[in-house]
Formats: sequence, C-alpha cells, structure tokens
Amino acid sequence: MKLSRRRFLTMSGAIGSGVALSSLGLDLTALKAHAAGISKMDQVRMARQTTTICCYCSVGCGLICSADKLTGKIFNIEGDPDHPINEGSLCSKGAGIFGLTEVNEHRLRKVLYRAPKSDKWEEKDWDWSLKRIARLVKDTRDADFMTHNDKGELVNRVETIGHYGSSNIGNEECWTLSVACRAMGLVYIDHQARV
Amino acid sequence: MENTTYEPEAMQHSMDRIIERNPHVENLLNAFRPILLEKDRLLQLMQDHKKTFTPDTIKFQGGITLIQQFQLIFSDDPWKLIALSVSRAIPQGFPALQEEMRLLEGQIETGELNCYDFFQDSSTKDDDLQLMTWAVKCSVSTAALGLFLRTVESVILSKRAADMKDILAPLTWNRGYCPVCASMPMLAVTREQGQQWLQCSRCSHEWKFARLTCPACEHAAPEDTTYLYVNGKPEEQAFVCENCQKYLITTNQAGSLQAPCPEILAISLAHLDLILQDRGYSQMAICDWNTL
Repeated sequence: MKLSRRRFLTMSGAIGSGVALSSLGLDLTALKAHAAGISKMDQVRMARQTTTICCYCSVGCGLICSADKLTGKIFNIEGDPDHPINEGSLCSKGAGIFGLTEVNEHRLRKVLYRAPKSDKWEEKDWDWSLKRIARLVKDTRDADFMTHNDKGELVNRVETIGHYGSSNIGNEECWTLSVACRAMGLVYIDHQARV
Repeated sequence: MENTTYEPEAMQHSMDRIIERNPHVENLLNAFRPILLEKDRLLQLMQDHKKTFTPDTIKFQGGITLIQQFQLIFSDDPWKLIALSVSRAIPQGFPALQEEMRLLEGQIETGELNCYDFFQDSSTKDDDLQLMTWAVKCSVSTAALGLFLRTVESVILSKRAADMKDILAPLTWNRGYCPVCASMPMLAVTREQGQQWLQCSRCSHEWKFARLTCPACEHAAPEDTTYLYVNGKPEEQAFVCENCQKYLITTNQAGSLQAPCPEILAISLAHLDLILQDRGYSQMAICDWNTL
C-alpha cells in the first residue's frame, strides 16, 4: 500500500495530539510550584513590540521597540532583523538609541542656563529661554548681517551665528531647521549625524 | 549502518547545567533525557543512510512543503532498530510505562509490530480511531503507543531534515510551518542580530521567520501580539497571538557558543507553558513535554 502524503500529514496529527504528562506517571509538583511562584510574585510582564525607523540619519535603519503593556513605557529598543536595510544591525549611535527614552535619568528635562563668566548652571523656564535666544539671534544678526562680500558680490549672510543640529531629531525637523537657518542668512549649518 | 562509538557527554552536560540552574525542571528533563540521548545516538548511527530530494523550487516558495512533494519515509529505513531503541529508552524516563514498552519490544522483535505499517495504514480516516485500534492490537494504552510512535517518527523525520538542510538553505521559505514536514514550531530561538529561528516540533528542522508575525495565523498587527517575559530573565520569553490565541515559547541565545539542542531548551522553559496555558492560550505545537 502506497503512503499518501496527505494521509501522512493527517496521521501525524493523531500521534501528535499529546497526552497529559501526569497520566504518564510524571511528578510535576516542582514545575507547577515554580510557575505559580512567578505568577504570584507578579514577575510575568506583557510587552508590545512595534517597529519604527531610527531617527539619526538618512540610512533609515529599522528598529523594534518593546513597551510594557501595563505602564506603556519602552524598556528595550533593538535592530529589526527583518528590515531590508539593516537586517538587525545598528551603528554605535543607533545601538544607544534607548538613551533617548524617558528611562534615561541623565537626560535634561529643564533648560539650564550658565550666565557669562559664571561657573553655575541655573534652571530657567522655556519662556525666558526662547525670548533670550531670539533676542541674542536678532541682535547678532542685526549687527553682523552682510549684504555683499569683499568682491562686491551679493551674499546676504550672517557669519557670526552657527547652527549645530541634533542627531536626535527627525528628517522633517532637520528640514524645518535648515530652512529657518537659511532664511536668517546662516551659512555655518551642520548636523551631528554627519560626524 | 556504521558502528561508531556514541559519546553523549556534551548533551548530558548541557542537561545537567540546565537542571543546576533550573531545579524545577529536573523531573521533566530527566524523564526525557534517555529519549533525547537515544534519538541523538540513532541520528549519529544513521549518518550514512542518506536520502535527499530535489524540491520543485516554485512549489516550495509557494508554501508546498517537502512532505507534500515527496514521500519522506521508506520501508528500508531502520524501523526495527529505531523502534527497539525507543522502546528501551522510554521506560528509563517513564518507569510507569515499563510493562507496556516491554510488550511493544517483544512485538517488534517478533515482527508483529512494524512502525512503517502504522504510517501506511489507511484502513480508517479517523486518526484517533487508528491509534486506538493499534493500541488494542498491541495491548497497550494509546498514551504509551502515542509517545512511542511520536518518538520513532521524530527520529526518521529528523534524519530526512538533516539530509535536506544544505539543499533547503538557499531556498526562500517565509511560512510559519516547517518546510520539511509541515508541522508547527515548538520553540523560537533568537540569535545574533535578533534573527528568529523557528524549531520544528517533529523533525527538528529550523528556519528563519519574521519576529513580529504569528507563525500560526500569519497575523502581524502589533496590537494583537504580545511578548510575555519574566522579570530579570531576558532569555525566557513567549510570543502570544491574541488573534488565534496561540503562543510560542521564545528563547534568546544570541552570543551563546554552545546552545543546548532545541528540545532541551523547550523543556527547560516548560514553566512558561504552564503559565500561558493557565491564562487560556494554547501551544502552537503539541509536544510530549508541553501537554501539562
């Protein structure tokens, strides 16, 4: 009698149906106690995993973020092995991307200001900070704005202000900053992702 | 059949190490220890009994497994040797089955029981009925005969999978079921760069599969999938699909130079099976050690 492949498949279902181990005379008390202990001590956590893209540079590596379902907080970020660009690998900056999350206690949460010639940092609010930044930018630009260079060519630029972009911001934010800087006439614009 | 000396030390040591770290699995792992060692020994013994096939790549990439393309068991496979070895190994771990295994051993010796015939038997379409009929014929319980036949089948299919490993390696397979025997995975092993390798519950074949997709229903929505993990034990995880209510035990072995065989790893995580089954989920593949 020739064995039918489909028959083999269904047949295997029958012998693969499994029988409770206790009916085979096995003592599972220790295993059950261990499982109960883990559950009782609330050691079991449920997490949701979602994919995202690394915000650092234009390569666009894939990431998997794991967040605790109870607290909603991210507890791990790793390279996405199924992403066609990085296949799970990350550069040194990408590998440290977890440091961007709120878990990082060294991350600044308030504006710190150090007055000229001072050796102390002072906490400031955003209203004060944004107004001061705007004032200094305006004053510097007004004082140093060049319409023409030494050769008499039209340049409309400011050489005394530089902008150093963060690698922690997205491509869209980078574009907005770049446009804002160029509108003010800045020429020294750089970005940490290039370094 | 080549008569080589079998050296089970490495496997024994990996089981001892696991028991040392996880004393709660001692009974379970020791019950399966003789079976796993015997399976490993038989596979080494059958090294020269090689059978390979050339799969139709179009069909294969379309999800048609080897078992659907070819016959994977043969009458010239060493059924008697395997059956005798298995019937002697089982009672070492399951003393309660000693009498029944002795009965089976006698029937195998006299030729009354040939496992190949069991897989060829198509007298009934009811699979449970067939197992019951054979159990009555052999005068053993269905539980004992089932465990015995599953182990014998696993040795034969593991040999086929090992023979086909290099042929299948360059072919694309992105399904959640085994490309060799069409069974569901019993374990997922995460290795370097987070790649996930599913381990077949029947033939021990392994294949790469997407991390965030359910192997059982191929559902991939993050809101319907959950990762269960134990605080402080990053290697103990489980993938849970809320869509089909199934789970798959997952272990992280990245950076591990000598990871134990998948069956040993799966048994060592049986407490997760208990926790998840208590929560109403069912295992992706039913194995002898996860029917608790």
